[in-house]
Amino acid sequence: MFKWKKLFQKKEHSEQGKESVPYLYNALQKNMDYIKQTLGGSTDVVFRNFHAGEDGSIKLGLIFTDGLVKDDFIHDYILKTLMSEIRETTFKHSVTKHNSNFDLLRKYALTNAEMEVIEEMDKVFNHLLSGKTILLLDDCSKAFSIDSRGWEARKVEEPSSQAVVRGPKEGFTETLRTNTALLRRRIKDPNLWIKSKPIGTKTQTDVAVAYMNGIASDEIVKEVYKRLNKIDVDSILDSGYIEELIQDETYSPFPTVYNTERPDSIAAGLLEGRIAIIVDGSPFVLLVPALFIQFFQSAEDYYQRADFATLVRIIRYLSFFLALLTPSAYIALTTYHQEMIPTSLLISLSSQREGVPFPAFVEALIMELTFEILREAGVRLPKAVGSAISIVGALVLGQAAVEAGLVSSAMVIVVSLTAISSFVSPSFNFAISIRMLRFGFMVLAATFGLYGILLGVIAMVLHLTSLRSFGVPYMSPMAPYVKSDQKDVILRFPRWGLFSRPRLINQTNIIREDTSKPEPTSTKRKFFKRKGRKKK
Amino acid sequence: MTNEKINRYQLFTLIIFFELGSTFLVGLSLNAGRDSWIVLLLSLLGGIGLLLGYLKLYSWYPDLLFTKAVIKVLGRVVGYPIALLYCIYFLYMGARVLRDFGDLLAITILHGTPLFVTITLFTIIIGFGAYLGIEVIARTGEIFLPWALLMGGLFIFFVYMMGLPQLHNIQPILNDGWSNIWNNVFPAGITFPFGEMIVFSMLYPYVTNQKKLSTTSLFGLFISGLIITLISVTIVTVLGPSWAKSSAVPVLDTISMVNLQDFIQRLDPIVIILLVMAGFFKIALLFYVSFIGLKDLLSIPNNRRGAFVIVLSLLLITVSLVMSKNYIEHTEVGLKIVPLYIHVPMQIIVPFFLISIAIVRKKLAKN
Repeated sequence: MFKWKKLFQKKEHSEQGKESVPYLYNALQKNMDYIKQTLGGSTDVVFRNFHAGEDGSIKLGLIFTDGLVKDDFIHDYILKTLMSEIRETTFKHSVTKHNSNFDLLRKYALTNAEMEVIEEMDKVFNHLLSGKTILLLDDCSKAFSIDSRGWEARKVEEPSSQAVVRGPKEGFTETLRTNTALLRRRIKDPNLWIKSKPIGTKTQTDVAVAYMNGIASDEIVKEVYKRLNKIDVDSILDSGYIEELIQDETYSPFPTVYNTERPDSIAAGLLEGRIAIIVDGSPFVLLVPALFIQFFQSAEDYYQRADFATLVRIIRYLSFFLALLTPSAYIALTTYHQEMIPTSLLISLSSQREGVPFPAFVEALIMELTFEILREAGVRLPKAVGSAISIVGALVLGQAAVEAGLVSSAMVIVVSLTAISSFVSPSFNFAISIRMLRFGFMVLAATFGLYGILLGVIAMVLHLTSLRSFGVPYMSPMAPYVKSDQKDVILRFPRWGLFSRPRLINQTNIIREDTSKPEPTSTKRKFFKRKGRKKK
Repeated sequence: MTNEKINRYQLFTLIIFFELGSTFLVGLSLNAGRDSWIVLLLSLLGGIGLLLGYLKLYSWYPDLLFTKAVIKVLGRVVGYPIALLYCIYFLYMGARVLRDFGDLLAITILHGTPLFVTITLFTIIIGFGAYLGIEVIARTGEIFLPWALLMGGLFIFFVYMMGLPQLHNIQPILNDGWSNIWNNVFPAGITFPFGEMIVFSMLYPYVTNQKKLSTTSLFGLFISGLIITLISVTIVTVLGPSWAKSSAVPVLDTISMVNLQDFIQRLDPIVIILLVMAGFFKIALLFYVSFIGLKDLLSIPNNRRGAFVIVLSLLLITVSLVMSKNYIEHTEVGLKIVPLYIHVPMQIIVPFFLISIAIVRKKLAKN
């Protein structure tokens, strides 16, 4: 135990090199030289010296990172303004009034909306490398940081995961601002609060926390900030990093943080009182607290009719159990409990298995592993080769293996059913947990039969009920049972029935809507019209 | 005391599972033959009487574990050994039920697997549950209860739809006289499973709504008593009194009679699943109760509870293995000796004295 602690102990950050300069110098050339030297003469950073003012009396230095800025913007609104347009105006009067060139430029010359004055050297580098333009003055220890950010970015496209037939087809992109804009487009409410801070000592990745003030529980918001503030790593390259650093339970196959590419899902989550974490550079936005049932809800459930959505959802739960238990149940029944299979089916099964040289467990293991390998290969392969793999997988491994007598055709059916069922879950990371657990269940089935599977299920449920996501029990509203939330678990009530937000996630602002059941008003049915619910 | 809490619904769930636990296997009073349902209903009445006593005792010492209440009533010198004895009693009961299930599996679905292995696997899951705490066990119960009710409902539905129950199997009523009934009600019927409600005296401090606690537990006991009676009547009417008496697992024999057009048949897995599920909760609760009692009495710190669970689990396995040589001996001891010499003192005599002493103490305190 002690050794482990020592092994994983945090090492002190050791900054190499010369001592850093906290503030800007008072001289332009010194500043420029220092910045150039610190950046090691990186070629993508552009340094430009020029003069402005009536007689060229003001010496200026411009620094920006090529590729991260809008070139036209710098040409037109910084260089052109300063070098040609102001030259024609006389500043005599102003100069006397504002005794410094710095104030003069700020008030009259820089025609940019987003601008900041900075003095610290750290900030200079931070702004410069995040795409802002730094304007330095001679004889002045302050600098302008002008927002000129603009780089090549992926456009808003249809999300590659969680596609829908009906519903919005926009997906998040890698740019934080685009993502927050996508959320703002959906929720035009002043209570949608978005706050961001850089995380990662080296990458300085912007991480934004978005929530509906007044709907999200204050405790959970506080908890999210607490966990985010605890993070001390050098790099955040994807929201996966954040997920792993803030999740409740590391040693669990089940995800306790939800992620999605769909802005509408995130907007819906925010309106339920959940909290979104958007990470710059990742199209996958995190949503907490994440509950077990959330991984069975798809955005489309709410866009289709309620009855159809309910049917689809039941199919999803069914396929969860199929994906988890089909191979193990097959193993258990064929090896231990033949007496439980109806006679005619048993005869058919055993005649198939007659020539198979392996026990059912080995057979299932081979086929499941083969499938996993195929799937993994299919994900990584270039598209052009992908079709070849599917032919090899389907023909060679399926048909040929049966014909060669290596596996029984019943096993092929079982494995295919399992494989298809495991992709039904709308969340990819939940499907992974099912696939992992499946092998455990197969081992249990091979050693203890039905009894082993049953105990495995009990252990799994014990583990599931012990999980929490940001303080909210993972299996709620099933355990602890919340009656009012049953409307969106297995069934999806009609929209007028989804009148309250989920309990536990939010405690205060519960009423979501006050629509009564839609009915034709002209008929005499109106006498039976429901009374509107009272608002709290 | 930890801040774990269970609500009323969860308490109800646990009572149902606990009462039905091993009852399907051995506690259906099938020895009474035709009149087993009268035996069960009378035992239920007796059980309710006992439960009222336990609840009264708890209402005098609220928010205290039963073992703590014992020490408070009897004083440290006398109370401590008795409290310790109760913990051992709970663990022994757990081991007994565990053995029941080990034997059940050996004679039904896992013929060749050694008893040691099945019992160990079961104990691992139970220890895991006890380690995670009562909150988790209760929530797990909440998730499984609808499924258990569904499967139980299917069992009853198919048996009755097939027209298997024959009313003449329980007629004439009271053929063997009242003495037969009385012999089965006391001690076996009352103490097992209804008197085992004493276990919940250890869990009441965890319940959130203390006011409605008595109602919930009485209601839970009543419902589970009715379910047990229904199952018992079903079995006797389907199998007939003599077969029901001699069968090793009468529930399984009953369900195996179901064969609907060769389409719905071999429903044994339903019963096995139901049995193991309920059995898990029964053993887990007994184990957990003994665990928290001993943890409190031996003042074991919370961060050492993992190790303590392992120790107790090993003890549980050992006790249930050395308890008896075979299934016949096990059930004979379980139905003839244990109720009279273990259950009666622990469930009736000691609580009776506790209540009497508590009353006397109250009177003295008033004066």
